[in-house]
Amino acid sequence: MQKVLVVDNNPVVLQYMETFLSKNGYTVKTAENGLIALDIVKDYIPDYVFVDLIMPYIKGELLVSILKERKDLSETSIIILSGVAAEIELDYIAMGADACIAKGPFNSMGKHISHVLNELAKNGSNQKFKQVIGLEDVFKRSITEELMVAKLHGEVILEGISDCIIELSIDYRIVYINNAALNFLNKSEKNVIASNLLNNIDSEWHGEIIDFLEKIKNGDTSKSIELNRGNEYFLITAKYLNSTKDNTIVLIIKDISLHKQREEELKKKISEREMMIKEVYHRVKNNLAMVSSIINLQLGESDNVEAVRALNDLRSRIDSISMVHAKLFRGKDLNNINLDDYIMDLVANLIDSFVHSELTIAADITFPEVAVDFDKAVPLGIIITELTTNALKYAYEGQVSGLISISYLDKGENIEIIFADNGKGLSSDLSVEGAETLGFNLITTLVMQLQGSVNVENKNGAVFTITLPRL
Amino acid sequence: MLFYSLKKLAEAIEFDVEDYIPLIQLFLETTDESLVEISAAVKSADKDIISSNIHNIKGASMNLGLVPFTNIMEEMSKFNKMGLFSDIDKRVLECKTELNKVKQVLEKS
Repeated sequence: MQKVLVVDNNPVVLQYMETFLSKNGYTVKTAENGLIALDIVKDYIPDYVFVDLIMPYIKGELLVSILKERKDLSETSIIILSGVAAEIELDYIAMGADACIAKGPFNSMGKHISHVLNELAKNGSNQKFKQVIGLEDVFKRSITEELMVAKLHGEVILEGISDCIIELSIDYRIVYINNAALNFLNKSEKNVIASNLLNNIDSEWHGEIIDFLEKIKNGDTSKSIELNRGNEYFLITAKYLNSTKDNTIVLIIKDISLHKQREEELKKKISEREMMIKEVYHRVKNNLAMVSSIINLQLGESDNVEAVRALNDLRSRIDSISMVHAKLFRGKDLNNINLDDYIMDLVANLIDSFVHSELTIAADITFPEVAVDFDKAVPLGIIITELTTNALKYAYEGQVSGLISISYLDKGENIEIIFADNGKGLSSDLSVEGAETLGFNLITTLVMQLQGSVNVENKNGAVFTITLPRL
Repeated sequence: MLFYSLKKLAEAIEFDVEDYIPLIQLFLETTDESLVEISAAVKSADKDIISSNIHNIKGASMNLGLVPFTNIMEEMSKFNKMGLFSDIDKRVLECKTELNKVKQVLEKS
């Protein structure tokens, strides 16, 4: 008994063919798509295969060429049975088929099938039908033609793009693959169609790919994964195509090696730039330290009280700027320093260098963690230096201990830095703006530079309130 | 009003009625499913899905010689091209009426 395989996604056609061919003495197996057909021919060698052209999963044309390549199917005749045959020019012989029958009413289609099978039985695989059979029984339908044109447009685009597109059945068998993906796998279409994706990719990818595909099947479509093959990097995204009949997963594999390479180059450049900037901060800090040391040496040479005072003030100001560079050089952030940390160190340094053995000064500094850039840190440092130096020099004459407190208040759009000592207070006629000393001039100038204002009052000592726009 | 004769339809394709009945049953099932898909696609104005389902029903009805269905699908195809979705909905109802006629004939057989 001769054996037939019918591949068609239309259940009515399959049912008809099974009944019709069985009644005519054939053993019949049916497959509703190309994947099932390829499974069947693993251990069923048919004498005739009927293939529809428009089917889900593997298109008919590709299925025909895969079957023709099989040596164990060399005696098998392939007959295309398709409605498309009536609507578009089909070079079915070039596809590898022996005959082509246009689908039409079953009454005439059955006759055409019998005729073709009889002719093929007589002449074997040498028989080639030169024309599509059954065209006279069908009228040209434009619907399929439109569907075919739309499909062709889609295929042209998919074959031309550089991203790899692979469509999988839900058990991960490849049902469509574009040119870019074939190049990526370094395989031919006939070799990969119907095979499991995992048999075609690096084994080290298996775990991540399976995990990823399972998530996609469970509806988690938001994720993508990044995988590499040596120095090549790939971004993989997927979409689960859920239809009422045939569910598939479309994988898109994008080569991001160049992107990765540029990212690495950029990171390297940023790192080199950071090193260079740190080097600059380091050198400026060292130069300022050298200037400070020279002033220190000069101090040792001078007997003039005014000169010594001026040199000490100058050295404190230089040290405050030097400390900003030191913080930036040592810190992780090249542009900003922590104001609380800076103020704390600055005041501690000043107290250390100014306070003599009879006077003990404590500092209470309450600052939140505020990061400020270089342009703000330097003037703020000099302002705090001036206020602290002034308090240390004048506030505690005749006293053995004192307290300097510096606090930070958040006032919405503005902030307030409140500097207070518990010394003897300022003379009642002093105003910061009208003061003629270099220290107060510096404070008012720098506060203005920061677009702020300063207020001074006596309240158990001198209290300076500096209002600044939010840092 | 058109009447369906299973005997005549089966004879036309040289089948016995008992061999023809499974074909008709499959046609009813697949057409029901396709009509549901068409109705859903009408709501989202998805011409491709409508077209694909019209193609399926039309092909199967032509195979089986169920001319009324083929004619309805021809009309639906034209409406789909013009984007006349409310007319497609009306034809879906017509098609369901035809399906019910076939179901009644099947039940009586």
